[in-house]
Formats: sequence, C-alpha cells, structure tokens
Amino acid sequence: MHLPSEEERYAIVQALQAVDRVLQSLPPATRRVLLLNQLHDMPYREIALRLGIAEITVRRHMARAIAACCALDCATALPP
Amino acid sequence: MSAASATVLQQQAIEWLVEWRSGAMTDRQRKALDHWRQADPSHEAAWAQVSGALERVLQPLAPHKASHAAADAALGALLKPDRRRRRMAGGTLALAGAALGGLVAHRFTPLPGLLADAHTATGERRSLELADGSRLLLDARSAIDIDLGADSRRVHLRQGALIAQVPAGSPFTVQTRHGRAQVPAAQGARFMVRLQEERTQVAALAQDLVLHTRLGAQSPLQAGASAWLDGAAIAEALARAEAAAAWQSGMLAVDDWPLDAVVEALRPYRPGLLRVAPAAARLRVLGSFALDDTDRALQALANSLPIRVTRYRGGWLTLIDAA
Repeated sequence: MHLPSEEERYAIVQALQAVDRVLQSLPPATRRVLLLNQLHDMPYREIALRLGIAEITVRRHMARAIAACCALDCATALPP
Repeated sequence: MSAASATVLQQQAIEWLVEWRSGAMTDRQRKALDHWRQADPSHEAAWAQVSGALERVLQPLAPHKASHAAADAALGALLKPDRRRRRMAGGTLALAGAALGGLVAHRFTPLPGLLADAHTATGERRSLELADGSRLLLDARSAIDIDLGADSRRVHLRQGALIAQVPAGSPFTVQTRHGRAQVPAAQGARFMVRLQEERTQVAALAQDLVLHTRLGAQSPLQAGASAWLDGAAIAEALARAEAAAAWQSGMLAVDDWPLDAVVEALRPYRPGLLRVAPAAARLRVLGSFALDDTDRALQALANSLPIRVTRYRGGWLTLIDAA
C-alpha cells in the first residue's frame, strides 16, 4: 500500500499556486467564467444564469481567458 | 498551404475552442470543427497549440474537478507515469490519498480564492481602494467578494482577514459565514474582521459597529473593543481592537489563544505545511510574534511553551509536537 507522499502533495500545491498567479492577471469575471467552465464543466448557458450575464458575454470571457493561457504557455515554452 | 498568418489561425482556433467548451455544440458544429482541423496541417497545429495551452495552464487544477472524473484526474496529476503501475496496486487507498492531496492543497492555496473578486497569496498583504473610496487591507491568503450598490455596500470575506476604512455613505457590511459587522448609514468607520475555522473576530478600530450573527443575534461593538462571533452568539473579547489588528504592521498579538489558533494565523505567512499535534493544540499562548519571519515566531513559541518544532526537508513540512 502506498499513499501519495507529502512531497507529491506539496508539488500539487506549488502548481496550484502557479495557476493562481496566472489567473490573477485576468479580471475577476473572466477568471470566474473560466473556472466554472473548466472545474465544473459548466455549460455557458448555466454560467450565464449563475452570474447573471448574457451568454455572449460568457463567450467573450472564455475567448479572453484562452488567449491569456496561450500567451502564458508560449512565454513558458519559449526561451526569453 | 493556407495563407493565413499564425495570429489569425490562433484566433480561429480560440474561437473553435470557445465553441467546443460551450456544452451545447451541435453535431453540425462538430463536423465543421473536424472539417476546419483537417483542411490544413497549420489548422490542426493551431488547434493543438491552443487547446494544449489551456490544458497545460489549468492541468494542476484537474484534481479538483467536481465530477466522477476527479479520481482519474487526481491520479493523473499525482502520479508520475513511471510510477503509475506501482501506485495503482494501492487501489482504493491510492484514490483516497489522491483525494486527501486535493484537500491539503485546498487548505493551502484556497480554491475559493481563485473564484473571488480579490485575494492575496502566502505572505502577501495588499491594500486596495474600492469605487466608493473605501480602502481595504487584505491579510495574507485572504479572499473577498465585493458588491457595491447605491443602497448598500457589502464585502464578503471568504478567507483570511481584512481591515476596512470606510467613508460615510450607505450602510457598509463585512460578512463572513458566521455573521456580519455593519457600519450604519451616514457613518464612517475603521474596523478589522478575521475569519477563523469556527468563529469570526471583529475589532472596531474607529467608530462603533453593529454585529449580527448568522442566526440573528445582534450587539453593538464600541470603538476600541473586539468581539468573537460564532454562528449563534457574540462574545466580547479581552483583546483591544488595536492588538487584534496588529497584523497590519506584521505582528501577531495574542492574548490567551490556544496554540492551534496561533498556528492558524501563522500559516498564511509560511510556504509549506505547518501542523500542530493534538497534544499541543490546546496550550495557551500569550505574546507578540513576527508574521513576516515565521521561523523566528516558531522559535519564540518553542522558547516559551513545552513544545518541540521539527522541520522536514527544507521546510516544506513543519511539525509542532508536545515536548
């Protein structure tokens, strides 16, 4: 029997903090839309209802969030 | 070969991914996406790059997905591929461990923070100004939601602590899961609210406040005093308000706190896990400790209490046990 070690958990925590820092650069509403969709697999219609915004606005937030992820991914993948 | 530039292709891929994540994609749209991806290798490359970027950036959150896929995702994130087979032999225990890993991570970098309007990281104190001219100072690892309306101004403290400096205007409320501290209309105030596991501390630094518990109890709090709210009752605290707000200058001043509450206040300032054994948790603590130097604070605790502080491997885990 083997449980994931404290060190492995700590690695996850570090990764979470990294995600946290990335998402900090996004406006709160954009962050919320992205996380509701990604963490809970919530459809746009439900996100729109829950946040009281239009579905088209949910789409705009998603596009913006994905673009930010691309920018970050490129920044970490390529040497400066 | 498509003449479209990389930027244009990336934008198209983003639009497709937005569609793909909508949760309402029709078969026709699916076919159209397949068609677009197959139309040119550069399309497929752009799709792979954009969808991969989203996945890579959010991959660490996979263990927290609130679905039946959580177990798989947690395992995927937790277990390195070369160790997978050995771990899988652990069966349900490995799964339980993965879930526990999620919980530890959750306590550590609170996920509520990710969804909040504003939050602070480990060791970070940050001040922000709201549209109504109020100033908030957030303690380390704190998270808030802000709701400013014409008739009322509300801040929901989800984690940590804040000091609010509020100009007169509509009623201003700071709410936690235990209750709320309210500044009446047409009055300004400066006050501190700290959310703990089982109770909320409120300190009136300037001007009186009104406290309400979640279950409806109500009590005024005079300037200079502090109080504790649990869901049901309000109890005046021994600590003066300024002592309760000492963290604004990097100090933790405690007056007969149990050690586990002191540790809870130190945690947001310390990267790595900080644990206190049950045998030591109820020791009473009196004194002032430096928040910005938790090693020193732990040393000071060890000097005055019958405890033993042990650090493991570079400080990622610190255990406090009864000596």
